[in-house]
Formats: sequence, C-alpha cells, structure tokens
Amino acid sequence: MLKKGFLFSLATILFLSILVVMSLTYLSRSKDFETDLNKLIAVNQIKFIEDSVSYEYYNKIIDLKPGIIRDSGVGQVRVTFADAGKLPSLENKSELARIYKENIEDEFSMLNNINITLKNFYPNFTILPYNSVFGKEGGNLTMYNFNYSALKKIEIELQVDRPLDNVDTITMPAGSVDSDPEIKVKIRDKGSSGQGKGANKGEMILDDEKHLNPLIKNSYKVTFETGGFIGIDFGNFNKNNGTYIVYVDDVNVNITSYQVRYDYVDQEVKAVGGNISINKLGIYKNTELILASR
Amino acid sequence: MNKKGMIMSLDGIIALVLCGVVLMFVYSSIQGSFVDTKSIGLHGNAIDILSVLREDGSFERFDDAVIDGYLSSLPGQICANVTIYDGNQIVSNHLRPGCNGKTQTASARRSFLAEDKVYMAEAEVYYA
Repeated sequence: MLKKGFLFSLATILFLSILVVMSLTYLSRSKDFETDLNKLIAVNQIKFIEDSVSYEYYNKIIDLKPGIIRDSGVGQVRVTFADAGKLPSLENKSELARIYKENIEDEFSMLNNINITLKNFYPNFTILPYNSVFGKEGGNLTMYNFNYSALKKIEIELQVDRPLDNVDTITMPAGSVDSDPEIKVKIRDKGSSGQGKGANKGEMILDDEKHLNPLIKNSYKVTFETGGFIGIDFGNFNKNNGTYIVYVDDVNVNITSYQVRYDYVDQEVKAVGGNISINKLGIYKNTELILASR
Repeated sequence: MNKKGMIMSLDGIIALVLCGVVLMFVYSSIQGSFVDTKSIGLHGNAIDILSVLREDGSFERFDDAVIDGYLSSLPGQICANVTIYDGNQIVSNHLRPGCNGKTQTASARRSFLAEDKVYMAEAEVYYA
C-alpha cells in the first residue's frame, strides 16, 4: 500500500515537473518571438523613416538633383544633371533644411520613441570620391572642387529671359594649357515663340570652350542694357582653387544642360547628401543619403 | 487512528494545494505568453497608407477629398484614421466612414515639408 502511494506521488511530481518545464519553455519561446516581432516592427519603422527623410531631402530641400553618373567611355566619369532647374533658385533652402532636421531630431524622435540624428544635412551634396560639393541657392549655382586635379570638364548651357539685342557687354577669360580643366559655356537668349526650327532654343549670346587655370580667377560675364547680368567664375574663388560658380542678378536663367567630367576611378562614384543615424530597440542604422551612384 | 487520518488529510490537502499552485502557474504562463501578431500587419498597413498619400502629393496639397477617398477605398476589414499636425495643432483629421470603435491599433508617422513649414502625418490603423 505504501509502495503504491509512493509510486503515485512520484508520478504526480514527475507529471507536474514536466508541465512546469514545458510551460516555462513555452513562455520563454513566446517572449523570444515577441521580441523578434517588435524588432521586425522597429526595422520596418527605421526603413520607413529613412525613406521619408531621403524623399523630403531629394524632392524638397536640394534644388539641384544629380541625375546620371556613368563612364563616358574615354577614361572619364560623367555626372549629368537632367533637371538642373532655374536661377535664381529659392533663397530659403538652408533654413528649410535646418527646421526639418530640428523637427526630425527632436519632436519626431520623441513621438516615435526613436533616436534619429541627421549629420551634414544641408541643401548641397558631395560627389565622392572626387570631393566636389554642389549647391544651388538664391542666385548662385556653386561647385567646390577640393580635389580639382581629377576635374576634366564642366559644360553648361543657359537660356536667359532677355533678347540678344539687349546684351550690353560680354567678358571672357584667357585660355590656359591643355592639362587644365576644360570649361564649356553656352548662353542663349530667350528665343522666339515662333514655329521655326529651334525657335524656342534661342539665339546664341556666348559660345566658348577653353582650358582654364584652376589656381587663378577666370570669369565670364554677360551684362544687359536694361540691367542685370550672368556671371560664370572658375578658379580661385571663395578661398578655394578649382571653384565653379554661376551667378545671376536681375535676370532669370534656365539651366538647359549641365554636366561635369572627372578622371576615371575604379571605385563607386556616388552623390552623397548627408548622413542619417537611427536607433531603436538596440537596432542601429547609420547610412549615407545617397542621391545617385555609378 | 484519528491522528493518522488527520495527517493523511493534511498531506492530501497540501498535495492538492501544490497541484493547484502548479496548475495556476502553468495557466498564467500560457495566458501571459500571448503574442500580438496582428500588430505587424497593422503597422505595415499604416506605413502603406502614409507612403501612398506621400506619392500622390495629397499631404503637401492638404487635399482632404483625395485623403478621404483613399481611406474609403481601403479593404473593408481595415479602419484608418489619418491626422495631419502642425506642431500640436490638428490641421485635418480623416476617419474612414463607418469606423469608430478602436480595438487593437498600430500607427506610423511621417514628417513632411509643405509651404516652408514642417508638418506631421499620423496614420492609426485597426481592424474593423
């Protein structure tokens, strides 16, 4: 009788122990599953935020969008701006970038219980590895070439909202040696509204192509009788060699074509507009805002 | 005999209590291990709503009719409430017609630039 009772107690204890172990395992697995699920939601959220910030940056903050980056076939890399827009551009892009960055890092981060940091978030971008910084704000289109030795050619075509007979003066720089970067400039007038071939393209005001020394000041300038001017500088400007600036005053200019060529490099060429770091639930993502790449 | 019976009864009661405690623990473990798998689907829906409305520019245009129309076109099982904020102020609120009883919700938010200001859109989604 005692032996039977002992066996019964032992079986009950074993059964209950198995039940406890199984429920603990189940609980632990459920907790792991829940953690994985929360991490999956956090990953989706991080991806969505990264995508949203890139979208706002590309579509609303920068006013000069890098288009195609590809090999030109002659040992060079060509960056083409398919939609370079107009000059003057909006004046407040820097302020817009500042308030957006402030909102994302403070209010938006707090509401989403997430830590977001935007670095180098300005209305300009850098072509790497050439270290060329492009920007467009107000009446200026700028390009700083901190590694100007790789720069081969800059081509720009502008159409100004003035007729050819309104041109007052045209100034052009002297050429340099063939090893210096080549600068090609075309400026057309507003064109006619007629039906003829090339009517809207405009009459040529200035068409020039020459090698210019990046260490000295070289300037193109077209002034108009009724006021206003277009200027194109290349060389030592704003304390930097190899700087390229297009600027306008009191005229409206459409940038119909803009492309830059560099020496070929056997590595990724990309347009980078800043950096975003996002951290949630131990998931950390730090990535460049890549606008275009070869 | 009485003493023996009492010890046996006490032993039985203790065993029953122990069994009860163990079974309660097992039951509460199973109850506590409930994982909310619906939230991932709802969160995905909230992100989709914000993405679609971003792509067609409805937020930037503050186009109430398009936002309402899009919410109405969602599958019948999905309820959504989209709110646009300017700081703490509500600029507009769009609740899918026929939805009001919130049960289990998931939400997503997006900051966007319009008229040189920063606004925030929030999509809150739940099953009808």
